[in-house]
Amino acid sequence: MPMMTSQQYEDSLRKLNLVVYMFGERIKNVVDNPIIRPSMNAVALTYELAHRPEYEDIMTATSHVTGKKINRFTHIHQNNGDLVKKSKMGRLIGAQTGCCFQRCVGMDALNALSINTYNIDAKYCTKYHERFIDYLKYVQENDLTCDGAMTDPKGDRSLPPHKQSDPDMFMHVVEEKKKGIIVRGAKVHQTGAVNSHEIIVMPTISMREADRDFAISFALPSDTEGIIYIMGRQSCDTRKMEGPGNIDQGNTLYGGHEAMVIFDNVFVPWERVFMYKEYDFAGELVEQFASYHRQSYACKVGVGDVLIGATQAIAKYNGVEMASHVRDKIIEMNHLNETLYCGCIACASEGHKEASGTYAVDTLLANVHKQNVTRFPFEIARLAQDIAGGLMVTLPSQKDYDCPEIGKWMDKYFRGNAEYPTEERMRILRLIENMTLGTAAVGYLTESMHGAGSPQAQRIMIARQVNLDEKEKLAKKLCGIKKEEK
Amino acid sequence: MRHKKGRKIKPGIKYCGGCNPKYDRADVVKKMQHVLKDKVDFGSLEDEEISGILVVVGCETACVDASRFKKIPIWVITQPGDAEKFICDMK
Ligand SMILES: Cc1cc2nc3c(=O)[nH]c(=O)nc-3n(C[C@H](O)[C@H](O)[C@H](O)COP(=O)(O)OP(=O)(O)OC[C@H]3O[C@@H](n4cnc5c(N)ncnc54)[C@H](O)[C@@H]3O)c2cc1C
Ligand code: SF4
Repeated sequence: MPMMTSQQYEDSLRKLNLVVYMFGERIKNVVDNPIIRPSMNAVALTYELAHRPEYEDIMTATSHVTGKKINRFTHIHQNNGDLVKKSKMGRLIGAQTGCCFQRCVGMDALNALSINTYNIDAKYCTKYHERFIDYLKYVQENDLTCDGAMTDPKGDRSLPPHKQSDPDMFMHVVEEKKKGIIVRGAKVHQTGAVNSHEIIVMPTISMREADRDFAISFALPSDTEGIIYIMGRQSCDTRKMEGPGNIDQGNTLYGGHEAMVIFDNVFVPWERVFMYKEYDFAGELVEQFASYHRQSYACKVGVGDVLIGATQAIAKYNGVEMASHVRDKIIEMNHLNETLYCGCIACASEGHKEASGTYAVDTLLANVHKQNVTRFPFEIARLAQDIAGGLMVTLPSQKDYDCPEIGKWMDKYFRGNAEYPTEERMRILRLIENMTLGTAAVGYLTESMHGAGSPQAQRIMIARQVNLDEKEKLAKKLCGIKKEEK
Repeated sequence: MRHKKGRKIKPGIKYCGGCNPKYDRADVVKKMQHVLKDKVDFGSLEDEEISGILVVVGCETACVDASRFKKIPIWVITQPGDAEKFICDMK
């Protein structure tokens, strides 16, 4: 089954035996749970679009290992064109879903590991790359969704893993066996975890020799014994339980989710281990993954498209679309959004080939792009709220709207431009609320800030990547300073 | 490029990926199919007997690699106006 349909994807999730908790209870039917379901719908769209002729050029690729047509989310980038298509795919699906569609993290983990396993082998004569390619074939042949699990709980941020008062604050090996290893720890903020078939674990920071037990990378089926999922809460999440198509939900079709994932003494067979105590390669894997994932925030451009569209619509419903300041603010929203797009296209176009043959994005430009992502969506959201007006946070519920005694008052007094029905105005306001402070704000705002690394992580990378000496030389030459610095 | 009298021309449709299209590509194709139903037999690239390629792209970037189809005619639709021209040419 080289490319699953969305229905086959849904059916495949039903076969998993995941241990998922939410609101203090074990969730037996994960797929149909109303809070989780919209996030499953978003991942399912990544399968559906791959079968649609008008999207297949972006959504599919040819596997470099099997030569078969595969979903791009399982592809290893073979040239800069592939990297550009990845950025375009992010915008496309972000725009179709208006939220996080969760499948990029696993794609980024696969690509980073394709480079890292090759490099470890070159130094230590290990066989990780061969193992990885076998694993990749399995993922491609079965068109799997993978959770890319990097972030550990980290405990006291000022201490390295081996100095934490509780060693489980970073994932580590607790026992070595003939057929594999036993690991313990947790991964937090895991995007799309319970919609995934596989979980790919990577270290979260650079490490030194004393941290070698923490320098591990591996992949496991998501329902492996000992793995437990605890769903993250999102602001306004229980609105999803108020019935399908509910106005108050804002986005009636799609959503995202994060979960914390506990590894309670879990067995990993050797054939699924891709790094084992090669601590000097932990930092490289983190950087490769982070650069790819910073590029992946092309998704925010697509989500921005939806928010801009919603803002234009509410301006019409409110009767202010011709006001010059409103038009100017919408232009500013577009300017910021397209500036983001420039960054994710640029880092892809300026990509390069690594020793393994995988194409990697330009690190400096990917970090600049992500740094912009930590800022611009907040400004776009501010402008959307400015134009929407206060009703987006004071609007009574759909139940009130449906109530025969009072609904008529809402319908009368919440009408804006008389050309449009009140319900349309309410729906758009709820969508803006959803994206700027409801469930989708998790992906559009806080994830823009911290996902793929907090802002300072990009500034460190920018500082490392720019050639300040060369810039200084250029300036000195132009103003006639001849003396070379010692 | 005009079709020979009496024979329906059969182009295979190749879309770009549609990352940020400036118009509804599928809608434009639907309209072309409707207007030209007696003149043009639209197919897919997989069809063996296609006599040309209709490349439908969402913007001027036109990021579709059609270089492998050197031997047959290629029509590129970049905007709804191109579709209207194609319709006129085929009529
Ligand atoms: C919605 C969402 C989805 C995510 N999805 C995933 C996912 O799918 N997979 C995954 O692996 N991760 C995921 N992440 C995790 C993300 O990568 C982390 O949130 C990010 O790396 C920051 O880590 P943290 O949240 O622990 O914050 P912290 O590390 O606690 O950072 C908080 C602040 O402290 C500062 N700080 C931290 N450590 C230090 C230090 N040593 N010295 C000085 N300052 C410091 C930071 O710069 C920041 O300003 C996701 C995060 C979010 C919010
Ligand atoms: S936030 Fe964006 S990049 Fe991250 S998983 Fe979701 S869609 Fe992909």
